[in-house]
Amino acid sequence: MGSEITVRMIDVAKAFGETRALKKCDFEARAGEVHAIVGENGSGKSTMAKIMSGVLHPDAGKVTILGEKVASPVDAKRVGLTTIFQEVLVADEASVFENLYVGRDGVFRSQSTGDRRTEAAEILARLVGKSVDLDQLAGSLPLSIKQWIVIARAILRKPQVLILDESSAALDLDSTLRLHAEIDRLRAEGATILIVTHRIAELVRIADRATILRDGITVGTLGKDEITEENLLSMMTPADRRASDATEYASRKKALEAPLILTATGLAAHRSARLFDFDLPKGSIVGVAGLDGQGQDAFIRALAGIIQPFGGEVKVRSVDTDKMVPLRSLDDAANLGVSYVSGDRKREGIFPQQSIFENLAIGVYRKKLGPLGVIRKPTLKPMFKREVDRLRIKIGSPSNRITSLSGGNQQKVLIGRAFANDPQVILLNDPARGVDLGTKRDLYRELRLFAEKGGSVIYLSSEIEEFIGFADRVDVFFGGTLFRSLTGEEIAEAPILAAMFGKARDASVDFDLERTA
Amino acid sequence: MISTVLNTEIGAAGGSSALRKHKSISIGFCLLAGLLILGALLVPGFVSPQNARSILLLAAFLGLASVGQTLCALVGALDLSIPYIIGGANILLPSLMVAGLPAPVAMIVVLVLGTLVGACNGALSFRLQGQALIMSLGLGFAAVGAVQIYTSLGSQFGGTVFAPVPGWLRNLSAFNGKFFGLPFPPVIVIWAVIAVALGWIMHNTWFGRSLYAVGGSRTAAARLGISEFKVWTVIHSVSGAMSALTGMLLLGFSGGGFVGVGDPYLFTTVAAVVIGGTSLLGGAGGYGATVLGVLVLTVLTSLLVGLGLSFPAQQAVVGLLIVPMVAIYARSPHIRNQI
Ligand SMILES: Nc1ncnc2c1ncn2[C@@H]1O[C@H](COP(=O)(O)OP(=O)(O)OP(=O)(O)O)[C@@H](O)[C@H]1O
Ligand SMILES: [Mg+2]
Repeated sequence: MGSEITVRMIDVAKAFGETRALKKCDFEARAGEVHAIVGENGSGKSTMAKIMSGVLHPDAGKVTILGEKVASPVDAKRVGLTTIFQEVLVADEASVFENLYVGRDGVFRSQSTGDRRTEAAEILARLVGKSVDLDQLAGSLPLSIKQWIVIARAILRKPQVLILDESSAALDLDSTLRLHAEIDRLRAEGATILIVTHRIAELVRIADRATILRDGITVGTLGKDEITEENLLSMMTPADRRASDATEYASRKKALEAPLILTATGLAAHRSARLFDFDLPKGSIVGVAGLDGQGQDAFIRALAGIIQPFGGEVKVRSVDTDKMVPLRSLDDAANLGVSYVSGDRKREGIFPQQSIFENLAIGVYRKKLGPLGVIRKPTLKPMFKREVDRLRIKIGSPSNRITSLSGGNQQKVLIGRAFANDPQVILLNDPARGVDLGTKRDLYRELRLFAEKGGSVIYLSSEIEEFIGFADRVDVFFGGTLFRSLTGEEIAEAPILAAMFGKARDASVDFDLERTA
Repeated sequence: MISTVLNTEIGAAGGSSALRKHKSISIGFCLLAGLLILGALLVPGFVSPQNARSILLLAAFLGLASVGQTLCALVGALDLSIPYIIGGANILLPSLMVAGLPAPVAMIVVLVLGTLVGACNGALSFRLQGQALIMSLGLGFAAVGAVQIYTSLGSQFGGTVFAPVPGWLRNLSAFNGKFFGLPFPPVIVIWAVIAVALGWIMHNTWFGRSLYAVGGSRTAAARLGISEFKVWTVIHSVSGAMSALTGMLLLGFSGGGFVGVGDPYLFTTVAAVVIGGTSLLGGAGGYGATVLGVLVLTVLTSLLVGLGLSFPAQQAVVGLLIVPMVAIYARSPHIRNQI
């Protein structure tokens, strides 16, 4: 290293009304390095990325990219800076191909469509790991593929500086490795790569340096060897807020012996998959893992009543009658006290034009209806406050639009929406996407508390580390079916990985850095 | 009255969204004030009880007709059947009375029919989303056609129907109508009551909130168990009912049924919604805003008439007003606020 400095921010400040997103931000990155930007939700990371990309203008301070000032996204494009923003921006009504080249054509086109198609097919095959139909409408694709489209669009521009704002959040393990390979390739070509992520494992694996932001102030930069979970946490969080240490909970075998609250029999994710059964003991936490597209996503949606599984039946114990009642629809789920949190907040979570309060409270309106469908509002304020405190959501006024929150805080509002319903079963479909480390720990603690009080949790995650010391049982999906259930000692990285790749229990999976190097 | 409705909206919004709302509402108020000042300066007799009464009366008709359009716009739909249902109701009511039905019964029949046409409209346009506009247009046509076939049976009057309109119906919406002895027609009060009630309903009932939810994000609303189909059907039914009501009140205003009476309302209801600041893309805005849009539009028309502009010239001016309005509000948020 020791090469030229490509990105420099000196004393940058930025406020949105009364919220001071950045107070004093100093930052430097060099050519040929992967530089991570780390901080709690709402600490100003995305704001920093948007300032570098010319989308936002700083109130004070100096920003130079490759020696030039960047005042607009057009400037950014000209100097060779490309940003993959946190919210996945894909035009749903356009084809995959059009999405890849959007904004690339001036009046005259420099490249023929034929060349482009070959190039596009190649890069998508490399990134996604299988070929993607270029003429498909992007709207129908799963979030992970949309994320790949956005990444491919950026790479096709051959950037000198590439900013990835939580781009791996929607990717599974296998895909993350492919992304890392791509990042390594760009780094070797001398590009500067800035990544924003809450995944510690990812940081340790690929970052050369990490700059830490706390409440809009850059508090320091760590070298490769100093990047550890404890170092990061202590720099990210002010001492007084450094709550819940990583209290290790043992997997509670006992919890798994409780009477069942939810059962599923004869399910299959698709027609040709092997049928499987599933059960959820009351008061337990069951993790669901799997590589992308192994059926776990469809499974958890079926449990929530969003989609119909192929055959089979889901039953939940009714609070009133204590009998097992079939769950076939969203209404059944609501009546039986089953709440669902989606990780795809932009598409199926938030109401962008509504306030923070409305976004959280809308989940409970139906339970607070008086005659003629009138909402009994007075009960909602304490509920709102309880959830905001519980999850430490960083908000200004509750009446601000939800889109004024940072990505992680938006996600927390959605988790609060699910809790607010006092459910007996809570289904979380990759809920920690974009949620910072401290909050993740708070979330685990809250879910533990919820489980200890008799609630039951099904937690799907694309990060295996999340299960360890948290779940009582981990069910791994492979090939469209529940492949293996792990309990006790087996809830550890190696056994989970083995199951995710469909290997025998004792097989060692050669998953390590060699694959990406 | 407007300020009550607007206040409930601001109160429920607040913060940065309130800023946006304040923006569109203050633009509306400025426009309205500007027009009133212009009128006072340029048109003799513009500021007079008679003129105020006539503006409010015409605004009441437009306001009632715009209820449905506002609700539809909130979920991203447009109801093009409004003018036809107005026209249909306007001729069906007198011919039912001629046929011997007592006025109140006839009015209930018309109201129910209007609601039913609206319900069909909602259900069908939802099922055939891509063709929703044509669907509502087609249904409106069909409805008004059916009514005309019925009314012209055994008569040679074509589009016009004559019948003795009962005095109380006339009084409801005639220019010289009296509201408990006060010198303005009761339809203005009816409109005010509906506006306040609707403003409250939109913010305090599950129905109102689910409208905003569907308009804001269909998928997220579906996850909450909100049936988009139900929402579409209900709002189109409301739209049908309000159109039928407007058509009947217009009968009291003019004294004779005429099938074309609803025609101007196709453009003006959409215009009132847009000028008020409700996004045609759904999710943002409200009836309070539309009330403002209705007043702006009516005052403007009155001003143009006062200035002696011909009808085509009036249309051109109103049309030109819509363009900057759409540019100001009906835009989706800047990309900056989406990422
Ligand atoms: N358009 C906006 N209007 C008002 N406030 C904003 C806006 N954009 C960001 N903020 C505020 O600025 C602060 C920093 O937000 P930013 O998105 O940069 O956080 P972040 O570090 O990227 O968080 P996350 O990890 O959750 O993505 C937050 O408090 C947020 O609420
Ligand atoms: Mg962010």
